[in-house]
Amino acid sequence: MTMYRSQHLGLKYLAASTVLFGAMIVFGLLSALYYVWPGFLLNVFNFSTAKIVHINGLVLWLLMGFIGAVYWFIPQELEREVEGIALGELMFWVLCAAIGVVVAVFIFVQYGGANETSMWFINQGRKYVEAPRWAALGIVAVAGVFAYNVMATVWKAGRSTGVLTVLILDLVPLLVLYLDAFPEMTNMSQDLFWWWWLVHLWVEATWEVLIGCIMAWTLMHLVGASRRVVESWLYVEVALVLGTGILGLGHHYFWIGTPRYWLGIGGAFSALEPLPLLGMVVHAVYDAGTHHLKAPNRPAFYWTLAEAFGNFLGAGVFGFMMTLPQINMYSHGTQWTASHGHFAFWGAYGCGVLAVLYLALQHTRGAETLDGRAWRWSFALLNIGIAGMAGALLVAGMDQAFFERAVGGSTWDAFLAMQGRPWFTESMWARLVFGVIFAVGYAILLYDLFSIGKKAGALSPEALAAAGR
Amino acid sequence: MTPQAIVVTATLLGTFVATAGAYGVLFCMSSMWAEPRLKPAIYAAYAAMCATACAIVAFTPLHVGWKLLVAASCAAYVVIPPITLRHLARLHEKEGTVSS
Repeated sequence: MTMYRSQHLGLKYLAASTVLFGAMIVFGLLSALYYVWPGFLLNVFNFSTAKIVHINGLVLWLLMGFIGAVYWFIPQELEREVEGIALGELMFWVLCAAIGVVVAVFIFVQYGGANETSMWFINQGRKYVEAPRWAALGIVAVAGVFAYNVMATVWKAGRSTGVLTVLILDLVPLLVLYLDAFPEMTNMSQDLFWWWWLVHLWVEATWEVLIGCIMAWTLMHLVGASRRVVESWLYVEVALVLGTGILGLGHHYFWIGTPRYWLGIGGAFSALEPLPLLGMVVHAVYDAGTHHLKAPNRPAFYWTLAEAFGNFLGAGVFGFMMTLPQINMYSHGTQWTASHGHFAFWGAYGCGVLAVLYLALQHTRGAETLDGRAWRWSFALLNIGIAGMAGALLVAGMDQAFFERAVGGSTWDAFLAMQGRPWFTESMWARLVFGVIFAVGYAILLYDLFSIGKKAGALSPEALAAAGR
Repeated sequence: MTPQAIVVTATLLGTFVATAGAYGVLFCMSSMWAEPRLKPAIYAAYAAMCATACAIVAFTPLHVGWKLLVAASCAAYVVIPPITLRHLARLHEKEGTVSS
């Protein structure tokens, strides 16, 4: 099957993303074990490092999935090879090597003294962007080359599309915001103020736009959706998501020493954030209805639907429960936040990456249709697993907000007493059990990715057009 | 805010958005498949959403501004599905891609 070099690179990114997805699960299970077995790996491997690898694994598997999806779709979009593809390929291996080295340092070195050497070579010390500074610079280089690949390709092609224009406009803040990983401020409030620009505006603004572009392409290739329809809808969604998401940043400013007006701004715009998500759900139901829940690539179709519903439930419902300042005062930093985070990341981004993965597989395997039993099992187990984990963490978080925060007054004694409360400990066990279910779903997903579509016959021209080029 | 009020208020807020989602999905399904048996479910979801909003306004210790926001959101949630669906249908009609 003829493919552009860029699509081969896209597949490599998607494969690496799948491996990191697995690593994230392993370290997630490890992190969950510490809660039910506090002495686990005592003085061998600490909880905070397991959590760092778990969360950074999450960020990277999604980011590599997004990059892979873009490299996959761009040549189809412009019917030409990506400009500077050799540099893009080099950067892929640089990124993989850097991730390998950083993870090895996290596992075998773990931490160092509070000095420049630790910052440069062990851990930068900033939550969610802990990669040492040399690696953080490498990430900037990779993101820069990726942005160059996209922009130069459009420039050389001498034309663009609506989706590509939105993507290019999104890549600029995506790259610039990452620079917030670097400042060293001694004022904690100022430091957190800018750090949230990176964390929130990546996740609830630039990533939302990026996945919007990717899902727009996915819908065009998956169900043959009209470009005009998809692009019109993308503009509406992007306007709504950015309109509510940018100032929704304020819900992270409630308790970090920022002025009081952030309580109103953050609460109000955060409360509006579920509105566009409801629009996405309506769109998903509309697409499902017009295609009678059938598509040549059923796994990709169902993962696309799961993306809309998961985003609404995880980000919309679970987010709105705790976003108003009066609730957030008690809930922030508890397992309640972790519950929202797990569900929202999975719904908003994880399901979308898996949809693209199946779409690319259909093309590479030359399969007219993709279906089977294994993907259904993995779909069910992964979604049951994440819903169970989110539910268990929600119960634990509510228990924390109730007893540790509201009754206990957030004291050290209250924190320690909380660790032995039955609802909390039982929820931690439930989270572990659902985590194992999720891991089983991942194992079946891996099996399916290796086997699905391999027995199928040659792709017809129509299916080829729908699946790829 | 009492400890009990935190849990009750948060649960009501989550229920509010969840019922809005249920209303949106049911409304869309009913319109897409012209299924009259879904009508009672739409009204039930709509009523549940409004009842939850009323409960938030009447029984929770949230500040009045947040209560107004919830009430306004309730009104917005009511119109989002029909507006979205109409917009989508119009877009697809122009392209001639509606299959049902």
